[in-house]
Amino acid sequence: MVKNKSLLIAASLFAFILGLTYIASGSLCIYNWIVTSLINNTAILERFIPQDPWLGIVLISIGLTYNASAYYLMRGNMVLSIASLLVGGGLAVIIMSLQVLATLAYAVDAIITNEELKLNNVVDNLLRIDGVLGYVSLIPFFLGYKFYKEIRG
Amino acid sequence: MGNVTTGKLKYTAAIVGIPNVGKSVIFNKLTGGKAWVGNWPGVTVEKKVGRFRSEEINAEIEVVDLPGIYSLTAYSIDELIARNFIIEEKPDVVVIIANAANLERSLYLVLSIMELEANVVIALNMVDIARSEGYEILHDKLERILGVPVIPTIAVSNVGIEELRKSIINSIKKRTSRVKVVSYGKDLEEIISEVKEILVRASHELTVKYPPRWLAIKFLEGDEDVTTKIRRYVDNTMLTELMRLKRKAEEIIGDIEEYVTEVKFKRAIEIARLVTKHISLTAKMNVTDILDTILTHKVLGIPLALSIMYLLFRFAFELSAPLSDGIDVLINGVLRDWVKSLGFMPTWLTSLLADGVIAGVGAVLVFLPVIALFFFVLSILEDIGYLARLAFVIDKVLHKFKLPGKSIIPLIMGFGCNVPAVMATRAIEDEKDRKVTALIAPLSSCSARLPVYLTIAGAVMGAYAAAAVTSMYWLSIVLALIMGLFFRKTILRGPTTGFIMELPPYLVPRVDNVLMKTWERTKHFLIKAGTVIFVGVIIVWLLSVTGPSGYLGPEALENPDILSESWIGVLGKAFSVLTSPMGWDWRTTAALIFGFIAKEIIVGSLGVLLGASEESLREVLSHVFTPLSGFTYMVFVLVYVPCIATLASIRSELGMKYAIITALYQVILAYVLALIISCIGGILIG
Repeated sequence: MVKNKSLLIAASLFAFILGLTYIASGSLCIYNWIVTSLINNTAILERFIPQDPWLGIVLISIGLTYNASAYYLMRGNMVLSIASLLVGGGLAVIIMSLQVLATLAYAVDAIITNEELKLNNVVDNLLRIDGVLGYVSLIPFFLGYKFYKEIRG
Repeated sequence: MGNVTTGKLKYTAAIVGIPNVGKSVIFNKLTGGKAWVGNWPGVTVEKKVGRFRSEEINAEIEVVDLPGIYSLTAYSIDELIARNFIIEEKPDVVVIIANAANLERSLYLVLSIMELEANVVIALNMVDIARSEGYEILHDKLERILGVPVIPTIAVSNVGIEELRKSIINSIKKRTSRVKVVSYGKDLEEIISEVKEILVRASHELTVKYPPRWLAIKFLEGDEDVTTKIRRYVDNTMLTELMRLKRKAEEIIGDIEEYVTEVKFKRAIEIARLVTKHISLTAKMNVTDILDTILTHKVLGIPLALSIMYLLFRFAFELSAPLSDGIDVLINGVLRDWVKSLGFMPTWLTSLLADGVIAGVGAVLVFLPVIALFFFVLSILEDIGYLARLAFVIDKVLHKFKLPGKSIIPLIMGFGCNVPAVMATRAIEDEKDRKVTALIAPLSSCSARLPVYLTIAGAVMGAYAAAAVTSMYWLSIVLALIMGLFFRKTILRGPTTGFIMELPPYLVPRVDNVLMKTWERTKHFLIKAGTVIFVGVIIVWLLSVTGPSGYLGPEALENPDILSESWIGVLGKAFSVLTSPMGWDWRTTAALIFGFIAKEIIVGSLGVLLGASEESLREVLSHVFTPLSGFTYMVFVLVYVPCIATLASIRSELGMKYAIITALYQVILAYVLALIISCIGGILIG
């Protein structure tokens, strides 16, 4: 059993809000891709939100999983609520780690090919929406893990 | 059968178990990871053989890894291979890997193998998982009930491996086997005895070769393989008598096969109950239960599967860049310049080595890090247990397209290589299901196509490169589903069969196991680069420096006007009549011709025909392709004719007719798709 139920409610609520942010960001990724590739229009927040439809699907999936945490808690299914926190948080953290690793790879690549390492690019990559939301996701992920340990007894 | 007293220098141990039980890990632990990989005679199912030495009996033990199976029926090729090996090759010991966390399923296989009168040792694996789930298997009691050694193991942590090795040696020293493992009731037992007696009387050779009781049971079950064998040895009078007994059994029991399976399974459950001790009163919630509620969720399962597949490609694509560039600098920079600087060689040889072999093979080798990282993540997903979930989640979608659930396994395998994917369709019992899966399996985007996508996408897609490459994989799945439905509604009408799959528990992947699997899979790419691709680029080089007018010289590779006079120019220009609506250069069209040998050759050919290193190739390609024509080229490469090895495997599996159908429908589909995308893209972009 979960020791502190209020904390689980707070975590689910936080995950719900974060989930909505993920869904909005994912939708913007798809929107940006459509406007830049097909309509020749300007993308919204293009420095932080990439024009990548697949990333959009991934972000929306994470958002839905986070929202499922609140949904299942409301329906009284604590296990599914915690599982949603764990899976949604885990995926968000993996995406964020991948973005950080990709930034590192970019830096190493610039050194190998003797190209100029643009600090702006490094900062932009680290502050991309999947990175920023991933840093925030560390909170629900670790809370999810804590609850998981508790229900395992 | 070997006996240690005979002073043999080599003994054989066969390893068998249900899928996902840790069979490969135990094989690797026993043999130190050194294995010889080949095929089983007459079929292209992989056979792995390793060895370890025993000082105690002063002999070498050859360990044969049998395919993962659930039973010993004659319906699937894997089960036939396993049972024929045990009966005909008579290994000195059969090591059965049982799953302590799901004992009933494993015990069914144990009982089936023991009926073959094999000398059995049981490795009771995953005892830690069983314990974490709240129960313990009393292995001593299991050993007493079955009358064979039972060794508890945790293969991934190397626990029990040494004990298992000792038990194998002991079993070789004192062979034991039980004739009657399961009793099928008075009525059937009487008939089994009668059939057995007739068989012993009818042919000594037959009953020496095969265990008579097992032959009798299988004959009564109506096993086709066994019946054919019996017909070969038994005369007509005795056969009539056997058939009479079979009918008699059917009158008393009904469906014999169903009855035998039921009795054996009941016995397996009974034994499992006797040897299972609950160590906690309340069953603990485990990680598998918790994660599966979401990862196999009816709504979230598919989007999460899409996300995980995206992660797989993005990981391989983005993190490999520095490594690929490093290889490119070494091969196409340092090595190529060094070869060109060697003044003592004739010009043609320098050109062959630098512009042919190094440019061609080098253009393919730069993708080694991408392929290795791709297989690295794939191995992690496999070891964690996620790939089985992916199959489970996608199964629901497959049924909507009238495809059998089992076809997901060949389709996923196809992402590695289409050849084993076509072979894997043998596990599908229904003939039409099998044919439709074999026909669509080459649409799975194999790893050989990846270098082509990466080269084109990297050259012309800019920030969308990862998305474009991922699209190819999803497009391959969509096309496979549509074509499956098409074949199901046209040439292969009929109902689809169901899919029973055991989901393994989630496990933390072992680094050594993941690295070994990555190496095993990447090795094929390296071997191909050194053989087929090597020869392929030499052919491309030869066709580029010669033409109808004779030898054109290495200058042809630097001067497009001279190159257009070469054989490759003639071929490329002839085919470019068809590909010009898509806006492809004749040299890129020519490269496609060689993709028939192996898909990676396309990149090697582009390297020879258009330029040199990966970087300069991308530079040249960015002028040759627009993003739209590049994308249509990628789609064409995904769909058009499978490589020669895949076509050969379709021919051997389904016959020449189906190999021709596959080649034809894929070329037509590829052309139509590329044309449609060109037209729609052209209208949208303006």
